[in-house]
Amino acid sequence: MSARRARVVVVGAGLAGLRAAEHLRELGFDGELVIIGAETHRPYHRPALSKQFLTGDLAARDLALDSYVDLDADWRLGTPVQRLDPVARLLYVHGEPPVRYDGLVIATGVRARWLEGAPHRDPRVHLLRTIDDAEALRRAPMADDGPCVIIGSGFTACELASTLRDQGRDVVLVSRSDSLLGKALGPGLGQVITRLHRERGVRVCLNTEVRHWVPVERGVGLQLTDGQVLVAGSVVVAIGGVPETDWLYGSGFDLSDGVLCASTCHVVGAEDVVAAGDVARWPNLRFDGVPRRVEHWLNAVEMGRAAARNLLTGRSGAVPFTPIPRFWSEQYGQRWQASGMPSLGEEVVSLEGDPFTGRGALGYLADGALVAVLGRESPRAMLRWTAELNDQPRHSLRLSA
Amino acid sequence: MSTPTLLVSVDNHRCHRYAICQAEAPDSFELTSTGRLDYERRPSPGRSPEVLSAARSCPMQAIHVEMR
Repeated sequence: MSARRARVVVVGAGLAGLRAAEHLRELGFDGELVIIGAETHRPYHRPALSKQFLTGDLAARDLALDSYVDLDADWRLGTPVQRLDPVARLLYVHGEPPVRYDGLVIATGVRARWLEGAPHRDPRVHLLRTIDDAEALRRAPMADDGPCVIIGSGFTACELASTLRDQGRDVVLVSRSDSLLGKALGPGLGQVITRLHRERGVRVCLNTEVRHWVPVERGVGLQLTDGQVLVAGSVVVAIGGVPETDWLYGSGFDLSDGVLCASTCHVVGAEDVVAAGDVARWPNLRFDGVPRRVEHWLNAVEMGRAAARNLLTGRSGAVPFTPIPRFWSEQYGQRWQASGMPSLGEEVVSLEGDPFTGRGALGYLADGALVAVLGRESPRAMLRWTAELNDQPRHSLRLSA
Repeated sequence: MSTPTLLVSVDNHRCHRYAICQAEAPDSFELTSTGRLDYERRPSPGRSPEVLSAARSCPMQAIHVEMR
């Protein structure tokens, strides 16, 4: 992007879009900044939706995310972009003239995945991604007419189960996986998390799926493939996200799982277009050359900033984005944290304590190198081991060694 | 980029002591061995970028920064 007085459009008014916009201004971009969002809300703190927002501890106004510079942006909310023409550099929005850009940040994130076969328009069947979803769930008829059945085994499913149990609700978790969070933490810790939920009184149904949805008088009936029948007061479908890329069909970009980017966050096949956050698939050269999406909250912060910097710098001077991915999760008052890429680990070693039974930290190794660390109730150990992880030889160095 | 003077406060109720702030700004935040979070209320202007990074990165959005 050459002209300094240019127009940058950020598509996606979530965390990654906000942090990209903020960093553009911090870096001195003084052109026109347009932020287009499909939701009607300014950026808000999504992780609280399954926890403090649901319990009423935090209200909608408490979730607003701050920018630490004056964005001086033209916010166009409640405005889904319908199509991108990267050659003409135009964005098409329903009912308005096309929006021209000199630089584009794609930060549309993911939408909640719907479970095929689940009844549409049933007020008892919910998703949990947006604040509107959470608001609907908060107002849903609760408690007296059957358990809340949560379908899924990921972070949202587990954190929601924890929140509802802490409120004294009956909760059933249903997943086709063989453990809770096993995909993120590995099978061993997946068993630990599964046991934790069972000890807290959650009925956990694994290795099974919904075969039939059965209309019943005061609830939702679910017949599972293992023969169990549940009558739910409410159902939450929490089976992950789908990259929000429908609007990019016809752009020529690779959309096989999110939008494919180079290591610098530049979208492959486009000029002056970068992507950041959950929607972006890029190779993190710290670990290897495989493009992946990383759906962590902190990644949206860091990648939004990196994408903004590299958009202003231009392709030739851009620097690869090579973070140590970090995430956290809290369930039943216990903090779980990870740094790195646990999914790359070939073996797991104990670093301190024993997270299988209590507090402690684990290391994940690949080719003898530390690729991830995980801590249970051990934030200080996480600081030390994340620093250690940062000192590991990078993939690119290992290749040339 | 100008470096404003920052006034920092942490909402003790919101903070769950993940120590992400300390990873971002080790000179300004410290989770002690007893689990208390110590922090500089008026970090020197030179530390503003990392303190802002800590505020942005806080999982609980518990860090309030006022710019003077």
